[in-house]
Amino acid sequence: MIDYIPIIACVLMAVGMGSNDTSNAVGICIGCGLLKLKRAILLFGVFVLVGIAVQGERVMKTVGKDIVEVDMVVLSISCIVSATLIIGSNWKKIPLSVLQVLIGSLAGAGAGAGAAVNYPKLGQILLSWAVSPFIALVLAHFLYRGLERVLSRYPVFAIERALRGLLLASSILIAYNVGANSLATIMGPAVHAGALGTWQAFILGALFVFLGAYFLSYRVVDTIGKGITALDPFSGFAAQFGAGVCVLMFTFLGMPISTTYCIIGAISGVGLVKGMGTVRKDLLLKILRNWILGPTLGFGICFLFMRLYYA
Amino acid sequence: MFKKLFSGGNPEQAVIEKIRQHIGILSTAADALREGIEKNDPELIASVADLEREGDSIRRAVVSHVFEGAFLPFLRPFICRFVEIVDQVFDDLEDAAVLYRHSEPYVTGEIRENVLKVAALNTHMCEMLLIAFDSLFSGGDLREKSLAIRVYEKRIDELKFDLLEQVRTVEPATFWDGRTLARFIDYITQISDAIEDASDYLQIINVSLR
Repeated sequence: MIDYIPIIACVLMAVGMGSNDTSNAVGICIGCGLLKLKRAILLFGVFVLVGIAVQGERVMKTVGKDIVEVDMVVLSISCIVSATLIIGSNWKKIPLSVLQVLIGSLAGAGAGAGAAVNYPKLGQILLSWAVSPFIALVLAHFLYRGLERVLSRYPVFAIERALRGLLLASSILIAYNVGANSLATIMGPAVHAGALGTWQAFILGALFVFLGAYFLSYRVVDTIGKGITALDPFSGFAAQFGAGVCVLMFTFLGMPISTTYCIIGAISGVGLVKGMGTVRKDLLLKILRNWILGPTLGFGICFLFMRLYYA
Repeated sequence: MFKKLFSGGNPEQAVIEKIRQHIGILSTAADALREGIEKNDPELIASVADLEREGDSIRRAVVSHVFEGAFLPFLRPFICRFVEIVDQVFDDLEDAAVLYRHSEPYVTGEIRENVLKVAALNTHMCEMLLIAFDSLFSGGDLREKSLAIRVYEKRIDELKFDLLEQVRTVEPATFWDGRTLARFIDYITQISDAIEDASDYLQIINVSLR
């Protein structure tokens, strides 16, 4: 029975990912009326599965094997602590990144168990978290400027038609990244601890992301979709696609990074086109606070639990 | 789904076709008013009201397509506002046509000449509005067309001042005759203002996604 605890925790995190991250991917397409909610969620689910099946193994290896050799105890403690922290932070309305909490927890549990934590690898991951929003910022900024230059040569209805295709492409890219990067981060430790087979993890993970999206995402999708697209689809596309390309680059490197933080960086990059005044610095500081809080809490709590467990 | 996305989709094509039809009927209505005044043809004058009703049903069809999801949400209010402004032109044309029937005995001499000039310029402006709308998807220079519309509007403004001077010399039989004539002059000269507003709105649509 105890073997199922980390799997249940992973599945719960996958459900949470489905309910929250669907809006990152398809919110804009639904808001634009390009896709109906059910069709968008189906598309999202398909590309999450494609993402984890095609490219998920790199990130799974980084999280499940390279940071620390994960065994069932480390896996159970880190998954339970991560799931509890995410639920608790949502209850307290402090948005924490699932993958950042999980990686902090894995490292903390590993260190607490006296396992050899690969600190250089952990440092690389921390560096990825620090630089990825800035890379997304730069990508989105230049993408926006480039698009502005190219598309302004065409008539407005042709731009509108092109934007429809581009928005769908960026949604598919984000859905793919959710599978290849975020879901792979969650399922990686379970696979490398031997709790699940690789394909079992792919299918189980994608299925529960889909279920989370299907049953829980509609409110978030509605808010985000209509909120973003009512503003400006051009900026929305540049931010989403810039973030998507950034996450894809890090996926190729096997680095688990947060799509949400990349999108925030990318939105700031688009905002910079209109000047620094458009960027909400208070929001960025809040994100930085949570960026530090999530992994630190995960690390600290798991470290303490493991010390108590082995005491 | 992909065909819909990349070909622009049926609702979008339908809206574009309806708007073209809307402006086309507007041109016909403006020309019917001009010709009706020129030939003193009550049937042509009365046809303006029929054309207005036709235009109204097209406006509702456009709004309905947009409500069903044609175009990106960002563009939808601009499209709806544009057809509303064109509808305002229809209303002004209809009012001018109705008031002309009662003002006809006083629209003579120089007043008649200037009214005919204004009516002809209104027709040209409607035709130019259609060309300007077409340039939104053909990629022509919209600024040129907007400039032409502004030039026509300025010319109508000058004619309006002449007309206002000329109607002061008219001695109407009753207060209501005078009031009707003054309102006719107002309506026939304010059609161009609404067409200019519509043209400006095309510029807003044009820059909205850039």
